[in-house]
Amino acid sequence: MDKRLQLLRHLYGELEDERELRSLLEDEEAVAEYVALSESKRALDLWRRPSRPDPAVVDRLVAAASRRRLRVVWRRTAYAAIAAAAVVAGIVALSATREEVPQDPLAGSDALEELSWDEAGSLVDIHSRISALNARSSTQLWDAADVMSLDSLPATGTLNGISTANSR
Amino acid sequence: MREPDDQLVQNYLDRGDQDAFRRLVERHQEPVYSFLLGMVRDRNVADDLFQDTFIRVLDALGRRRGSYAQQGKFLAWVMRIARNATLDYFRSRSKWHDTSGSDGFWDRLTSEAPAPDELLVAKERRAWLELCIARLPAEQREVLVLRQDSELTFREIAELTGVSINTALGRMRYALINLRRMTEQRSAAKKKTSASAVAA
Repeated sequence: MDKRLQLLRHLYGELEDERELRSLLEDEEAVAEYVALSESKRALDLWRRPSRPDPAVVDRLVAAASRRRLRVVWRRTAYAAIAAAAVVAGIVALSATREEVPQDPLAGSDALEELSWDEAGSLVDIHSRISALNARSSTQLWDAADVMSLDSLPATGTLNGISTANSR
Repeated sequence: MREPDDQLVQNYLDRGDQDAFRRLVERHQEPVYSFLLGMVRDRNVADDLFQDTFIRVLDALGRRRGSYAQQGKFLAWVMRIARNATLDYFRSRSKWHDTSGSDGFWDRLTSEAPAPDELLVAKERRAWLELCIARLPAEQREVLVLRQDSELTFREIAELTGVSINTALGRMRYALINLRRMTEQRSAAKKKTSASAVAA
């Protein structure tokens, strides 16, 4: 590195090797350079001070940080809620898909229940048919004249149209 | 006990600790603000840029730490953001002739500062010094402010400005020599003025 640049680093305390500095300053030109640089630095150290922003600016920044943090928290919560809803929806959809899968009608108790139900339906159907027939025939039974039994008919008489078979 | 910057960043991000963020800002306000003020030379503008810088910091941290990946170099990271904010400010004011990159950007900035001679009679040496700094070429002024006020090392300045350490040192050297030259010119002008007054 250039000797003059090394001097500058010494001046700002970035190099602390005293022996090296003394070695650099053996040259008169380097001494003049070091003095000139030192004078400018001394003036800067003396007259310039680090500055700070208006405290209100810092307050505004902290408020902004708080708002942004709230937004981040809200966003994270929203994402978590959406993720949870998606999981629930997935589970519901999965279970619905399972219900729709066709099953062997003879397998399991559901099939037996189904058969029982069908049989019950048939019985009900038969029962309702019988009831209907009874209802239809009931009028004839009540209103019709008594049917005479063959035994009550005179076996030797000549009742028109009726004669014993062996007498013909 | 002073908590490390990374711990404060972590506290803010994980727990929303506002106090941690405030401490970060207050801890680094002087180097950041001094740089901004040294470059723009206007307190109101420097305040705005300071705010803009830390808003950018918040935005970046909100994006899962953003570009803050180098642990332990929070100030260097913030200074980079502050420098970009300053470049954007100058660009927005159209104080450059070429928009392609920032290489040599400061060279193309025009100086609005009045000539130091105009303030020969000024009593405030500080004001004089500020004007001398303002008269420096922008790239020299930048290094001077970063080293003198922000207290960055020459190596850090080199990294921040994207130049070699020798270039950063060279710019600083010229800045100090130019300041001294301006001071000497002022002294000479003062003597001349005094001599004229005596002669009259």
